[in-house]
Amino acid sequence: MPQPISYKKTREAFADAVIELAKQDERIVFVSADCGAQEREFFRVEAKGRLVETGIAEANSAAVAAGLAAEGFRPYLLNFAYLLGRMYNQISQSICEDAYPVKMAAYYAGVWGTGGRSHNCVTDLAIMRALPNMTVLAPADYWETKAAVRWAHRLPGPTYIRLSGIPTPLVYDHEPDFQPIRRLTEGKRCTIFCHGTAVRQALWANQRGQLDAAVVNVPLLKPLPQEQIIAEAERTQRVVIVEEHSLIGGLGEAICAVLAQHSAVPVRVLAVPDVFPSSVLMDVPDPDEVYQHYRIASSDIIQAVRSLSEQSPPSAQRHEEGETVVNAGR
Amino acid sequence: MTDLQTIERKCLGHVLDILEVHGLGHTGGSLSILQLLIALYFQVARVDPHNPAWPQRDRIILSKGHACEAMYAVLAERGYFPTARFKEYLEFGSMLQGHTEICTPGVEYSAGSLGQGLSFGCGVAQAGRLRGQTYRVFCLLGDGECHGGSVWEAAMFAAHYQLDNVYALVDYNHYADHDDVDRLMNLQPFQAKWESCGWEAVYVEQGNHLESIITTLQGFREPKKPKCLIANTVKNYGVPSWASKHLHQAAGETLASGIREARALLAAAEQRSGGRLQPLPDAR
Repeated sequence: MPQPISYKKTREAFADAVIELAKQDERIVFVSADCGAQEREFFRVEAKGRLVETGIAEANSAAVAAGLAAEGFRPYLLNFAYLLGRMYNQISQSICEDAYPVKMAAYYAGVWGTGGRSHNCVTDLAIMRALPNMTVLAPADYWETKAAVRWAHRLPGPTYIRLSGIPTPLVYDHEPDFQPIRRLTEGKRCTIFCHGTAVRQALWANQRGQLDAAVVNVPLLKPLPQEQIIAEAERTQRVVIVEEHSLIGGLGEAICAVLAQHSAVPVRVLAVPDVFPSSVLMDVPDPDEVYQHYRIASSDIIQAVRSLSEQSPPSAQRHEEGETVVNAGR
Repeated sequence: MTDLQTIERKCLGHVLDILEVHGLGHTGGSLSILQLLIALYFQVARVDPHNPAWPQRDRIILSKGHACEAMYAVLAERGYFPTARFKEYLEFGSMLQGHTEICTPGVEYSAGSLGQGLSFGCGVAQAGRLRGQTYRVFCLLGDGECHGGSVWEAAMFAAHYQLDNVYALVDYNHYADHDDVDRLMNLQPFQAKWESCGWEAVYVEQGNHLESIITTLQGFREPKKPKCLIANTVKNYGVPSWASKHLHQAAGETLASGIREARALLAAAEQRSGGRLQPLPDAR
């Protein structure tokens, strides 16, 4: 059974980090389309004048943020993940084309929540990854989100951070240094690449299923830490990718594209099927059932690792010069 | 400074030269907006072509980026770059792209997808206010893009924050790509829309007449309101055969014959002392 664990919203981490940063960096303004209670309060009261409210006009908010960024400010732009589509062309033309440093984040991303299809968005990473100049992050928990906000703040261009609107299980017990990719367990049988809530699911799966897997957290989806991805995949010779995002356009596709070019390691992807997710009550008796429905639960991860192990037993490994040697690691 | 009529003729000549480079381009929207750009760059706005990033400059944001030929013509004539660069127009990787981008000296905003320039300009204006700077922001919009809702989101924003340093100049040339703009989707009552959003709005009947534009821009006086100039313009102004067909773009023989026609009119205008472009009959 999963051990008892604390839950906290990554959405709150964003607010906490932005407010801390804004106390040190006067270039930060908060552009709100009626969004972000905690930030609005701080910027309205303590950072007077640095709240730019647009009303529920998302498209305008994105291009206004671009104009502020063009003049040297660091606008933070927060909204619901599903509404990124509503400002997408503004993000593309007004922000990304000229790489203005608008710092975006969106919550209500993932399958969990009572809001239904409009508030359980699993396509945000796909559309944000498709934008040239955009950096895309999907941190694992509250603590890594704080680190991600600080890391993204230092980047000179536009950034997007994926947030959850509901409390999600903690992976870290303090704020880590932000690393684009981090191996959390040292297993040898399989590499499990994951981001966001799936990191905790993968850790549970590894523990419960005694998988001897290397759980590798990849909070930076773009630019993808390609060299390290390849090295981690080659290290165990088996890859499972799991994410609380559509199988179209997420980490699964991103890693498959890299490995298809550079590696022959077999891969399984566990991601949300091509559907709009349903609303979910927060007090369902067994939370795992929801993830099982989308086939991204820890039990699905266990099954995937086991079946991959059976289908691809330890075998000859191809080396750079084309010579083959038995992989002594297994 | 050379007188404005001479500048106007030279800029029209530049537009024709640019269109001729590859025998294609946005004739209609470039020729309707030309005088608005000349009024700004040569008379009303504070700009320094030798220091395009001068912090105190007025910002001129062309939202209808397809009027790039007019923008390039006016920027070159104003001294941002030599007219010899026109031959690079549309070339791969060149600084003169098919819609305005900030790679061109003097261009403040990368456009092409409509309905965003006024929002961007509002952000630029808000930034100036936060810093206590006094620059003005001139946003040039097409009439057709005012069909889009984001224009009105920005219009509300500018009035809400009393951004009286924001100017929207609408090139009301009456024709979009395929039809009369008001037949596509009626914009009227257009001036009243801006006014009801909290703007000071003025309709300029002679929208291609430089003095009318300049007088109007200098005559806004309502405090704490953003300002809108609706210029009643003629699409393809200066080229009667294109204007009669309301051309959006031209190529091939249509383009070539129109250029010949316009150059003949220009030569005739130059021969008259202080001659200005032949005012066109209202082709609507």
